[in-house]
Amino acid sequence: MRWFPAVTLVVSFVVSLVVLGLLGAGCGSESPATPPPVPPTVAATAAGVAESLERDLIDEAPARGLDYVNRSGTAEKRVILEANGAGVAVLDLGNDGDLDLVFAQGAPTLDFTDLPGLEVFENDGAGRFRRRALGSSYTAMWSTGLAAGDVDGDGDDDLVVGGIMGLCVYLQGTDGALALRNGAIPTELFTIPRAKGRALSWFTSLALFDADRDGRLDLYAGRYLDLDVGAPPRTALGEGALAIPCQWKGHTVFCGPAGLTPQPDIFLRGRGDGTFEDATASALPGHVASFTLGVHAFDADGDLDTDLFVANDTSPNLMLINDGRGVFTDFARAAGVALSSEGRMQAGMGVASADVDRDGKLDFAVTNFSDEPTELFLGAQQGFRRVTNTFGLLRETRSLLSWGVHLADFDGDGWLEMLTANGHVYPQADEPMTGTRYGQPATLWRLGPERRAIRIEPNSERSILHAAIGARGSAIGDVDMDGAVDVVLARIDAPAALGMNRTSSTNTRLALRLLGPTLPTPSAPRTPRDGHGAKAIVVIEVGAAEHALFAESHTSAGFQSSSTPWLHFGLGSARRYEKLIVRWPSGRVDTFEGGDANARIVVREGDGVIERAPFR
Amino acid sequence: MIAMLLLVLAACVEPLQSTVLPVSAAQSSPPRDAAAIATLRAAWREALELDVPSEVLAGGAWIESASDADPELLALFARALASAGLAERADALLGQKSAPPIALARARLALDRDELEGAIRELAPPAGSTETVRFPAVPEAFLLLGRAHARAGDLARAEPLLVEFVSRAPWHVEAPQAWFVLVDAALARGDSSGSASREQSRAQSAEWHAFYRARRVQVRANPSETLPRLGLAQLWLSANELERARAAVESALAIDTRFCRGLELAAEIERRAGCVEDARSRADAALACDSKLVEVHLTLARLARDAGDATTSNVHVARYRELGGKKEL
Repeated sequence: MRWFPAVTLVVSFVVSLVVLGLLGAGCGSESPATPPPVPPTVAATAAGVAESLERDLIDEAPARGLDYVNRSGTAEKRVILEANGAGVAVLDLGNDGDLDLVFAQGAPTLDFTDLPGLEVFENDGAGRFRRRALGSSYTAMWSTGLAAGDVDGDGDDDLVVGGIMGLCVYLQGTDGALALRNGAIPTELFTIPRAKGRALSWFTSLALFDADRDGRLDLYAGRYLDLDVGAPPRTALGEGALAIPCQWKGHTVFCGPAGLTPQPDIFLRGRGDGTFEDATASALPGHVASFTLGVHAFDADGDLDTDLFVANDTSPNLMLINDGRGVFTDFARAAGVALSSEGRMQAGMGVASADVDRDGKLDFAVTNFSDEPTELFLGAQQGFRRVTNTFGLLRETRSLLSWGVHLADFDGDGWLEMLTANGHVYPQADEPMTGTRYGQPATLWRLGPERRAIRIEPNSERSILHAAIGARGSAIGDVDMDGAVDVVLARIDAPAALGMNRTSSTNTRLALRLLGPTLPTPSAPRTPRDGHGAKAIVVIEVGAAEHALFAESHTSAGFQSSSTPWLHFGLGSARRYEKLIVRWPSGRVDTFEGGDANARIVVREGDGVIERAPFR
Repeated sequence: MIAMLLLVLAACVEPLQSTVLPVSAAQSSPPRDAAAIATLRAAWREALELDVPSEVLAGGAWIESASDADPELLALFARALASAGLAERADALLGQKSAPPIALARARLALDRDELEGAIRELAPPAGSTETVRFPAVPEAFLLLGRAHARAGDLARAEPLLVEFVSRAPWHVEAPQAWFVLVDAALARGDSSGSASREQSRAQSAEWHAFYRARRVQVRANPSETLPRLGLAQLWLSANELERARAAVESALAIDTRFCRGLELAAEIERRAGCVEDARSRADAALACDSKLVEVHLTLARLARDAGDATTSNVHVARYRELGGKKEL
């Protein structure tokens, strides 16, 4: 059976809730008298017209004060450490409702003498940024992955930071400043015993989520490989007659990951006070080390707890299914998501999930190396169904090496687009006849309703879809609070990009923030204070045009990055939504009457809608 | 029987020229004779298998203006173009020619573009045909048509094609991928024992090909070294592909005639090929080269056993065991 044998397949709560909602006489809202017009995007593509809609992601980073410049070693990229770049976190510092940015940072050389701290940018509420000092209490290190969430349950976002040598926790104070929480992570996890001494941990992507539904955020930390920074392998692996040169398409390139030693991932159980304990042995029994690059926490099997997809480089991916108590078993092979469609190990990078086909089940995408497709898997009755080739994604993505990925409704038409942050790891990609390039622009595709990836071309040279500059980390969030999700790209060895979502469409939207209760409920299961894992259905229209949109609150999509926990729904031409249904991780289900579109709504478990405001 | 014996003898005295160790992908003008064409085909095939399309493109610039190029070379060159991101030139080169290698290359291009229906059209048998593919003499046709169906989600159609492919071309470089889809197809039918058995075949095939690739890369990186070539010979011997094994080991011995482990392996290859005298002489040379060799005693024991000389065979088995040999006679 191609699925998770130990999991009793629960009919997606979405389906049952939608049905419940439709039947509930007291919960309905007014019906529009006439069916809605077909959204313009759908009409255009149905008529076979090429994508030329007036929409784009314009890079306004310099104008908006975002002057982060990434440093990832030397431009020649002679060592694998220099290739993976940094992540970015979109989070709310100061609890003022707008989204601020924190970037990880590397160093210009590998001598590790000039190690940086994080770089923090504070939003003025209108999407303009200014640098904010990190404070005196921080760890200088070559940082890589970031994960935002309320790890101490005090109602604001905190930050977990991974990198070379370490993993640390920054707690947000009442003034919005991030301060290092000493002793938050067991330090023995920073190195790994080896036959010859100890290897430094190399953390990549991190995911904060509540594994055991106790209301406290836990952490999955991906690790990459052993690297002797002082004497990294450079042109060949092995010695003598059996040495294997490190080559790609005939060009000498940096060595790895193949031939190097992978590091095991770790699972840390949150104590709820900003500190964590190592629970790897009990939570990940039988875990086998692999070259982890991407980690994404989402409810893969629809049984209401949170599972994990781990994208591995040159090794099989993991689909870690939660038994409900925070113990994970890998079912990737049985689910058909471990390898390529023909059994090849790929170079998994970033992961994102969302309901692409609007069937109430979460689907997910995984980015890969050049000559490999970005894979798309649709949630099926059992497991997942690979639709990469039928969506045309091999053709669309094989020349790209993609990292961050996001499934979001950028144009508000009710169907999701897929955005990938791209860029090759080898500068040698610019040599003739490689079929790819080193610098690559971000790319955006429509995925529905045609069930075919249709690339959206940039309309402007200022678009992040135009500039061929490699990126690694990426995150999404509505930084100017106009209701449309924007994109932050952590480009490698280059200034960050801030792709402001500009569209002339008249589609309406809804932004939703789901929060757990201020005071924890007496017994588990509980919803985390920041709402991680909460799910929502927005019912739109009634009658023949009725449909529902489904989303889950999580932050780990992308690569080494942390996106907004806000849920963004595109309502197309609808002026209002008819119903909102929320399923909390505690098990509680709330149904709310509809309302006007183009609103930001905050819902707290137990308190209902606590804030409603129009977009700016 | 006599004819078969003659064939064996012929193979014994005249080892095949290496087609698994091509010397160069470069060719400034169209190759003229069959041997040159075969050598260049092997070189280009290997360059593509090792993902170095630039070697093909650099070495075969003449082909785009040649009027009567070998269809397989043409197809390989087109694949190199596509792999280098020059798919439109590949299209132009292939045109609508109907030779099987050209049609297969077109099908590969269609698969790269997710044009699954196009690939199926290219390779499906004509209406009324009793065949399952358009080019039943070419194993790769089964692979590519099966792949197209599998990618379209039709494992039921893919399965018999891929079964045919792995039975016809078990050592094809893409056999592990075919086995993988076959595992999925068995799972989809609820055939757990079938899937387990296929998974075993897939794993074996994948491991063999991983070594095969590594050894070829090592040979290219260190062409004057004997060890990678010995590794290649061992792989081919494990696949019972004796002529290829012989070619690999002879290429090592051409570098160093006193390569003791090469002589030892050559003895076993000749024994397996039925070339008793060659085997004996290679074994003797191996022992003279290094008296501590282990496996050569098993070869000598088997030669003696097959010649009905149990006493000598036992002596060699005893020596083999003494030196730590574990295999059965």
